[in-house]
Amino acid sequence: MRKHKRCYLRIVADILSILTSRKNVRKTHIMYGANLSYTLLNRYLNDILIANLISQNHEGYYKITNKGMTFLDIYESYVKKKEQVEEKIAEMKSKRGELQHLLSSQSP
Amino acid sequence: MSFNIYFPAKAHKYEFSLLREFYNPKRRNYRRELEIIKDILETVSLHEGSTKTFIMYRAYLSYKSLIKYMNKLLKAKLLREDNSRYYLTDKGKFFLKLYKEYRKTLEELEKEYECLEKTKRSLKKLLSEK
Repeated sequence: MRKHKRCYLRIVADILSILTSRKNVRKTHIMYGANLSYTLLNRYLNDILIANLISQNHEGYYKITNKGMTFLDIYESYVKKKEQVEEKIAEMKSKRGELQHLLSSQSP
Repeated sequence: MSFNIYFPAKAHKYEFSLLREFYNPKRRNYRRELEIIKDILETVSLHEGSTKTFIMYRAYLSYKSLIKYMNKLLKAKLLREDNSRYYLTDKGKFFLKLYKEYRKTLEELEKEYECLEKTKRSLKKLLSEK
């Protein structure tokens, strides 16, 4: 089965997490680490730079800013919570199935 | 007992979300059915030995649709008829209990989901401000 498309926030978080794990990161590193093509990477980097989540020094190296760190923190908690909610939704589905089963005349 | 203001108004809100299955406008009939059945069973549980007319008014149903649901409930043995008065069976009590739990967790889930959306919005805000 084909893998799900990554959402915008996920890609941004992927880029930022590469910047946290390494120092002196160049564009190519980010490109390989985040599994993006060069054109796509440019588009995302542009957005992130404008939003001040990362900064670029005169040598062309990228560095994560404090704002970027808070973004990553919030994103991590978001993902965790999302998983929990998804689990609960699955639970709800089974509960609904139980109710439906009670309504069918075959059940004892 | 209150009207079912719960579903149709919120259906569109969750059209593109995780909770879509529970609120999808196209599948609204299913949810409504469970809710109507709950109203019928609750009426009978509060007033043992209700007549059809009484249930009809309490569950806000027309006679025709009441018959439809009552037949289903009698067939599934959630209700039993005795001299044209209706009583809740043990299975019916169990259903009612289960449905109330279901509804409660769904409401909790909805709140949690709203919280989730809020964090998502704050993330997007971080990305959009300069």
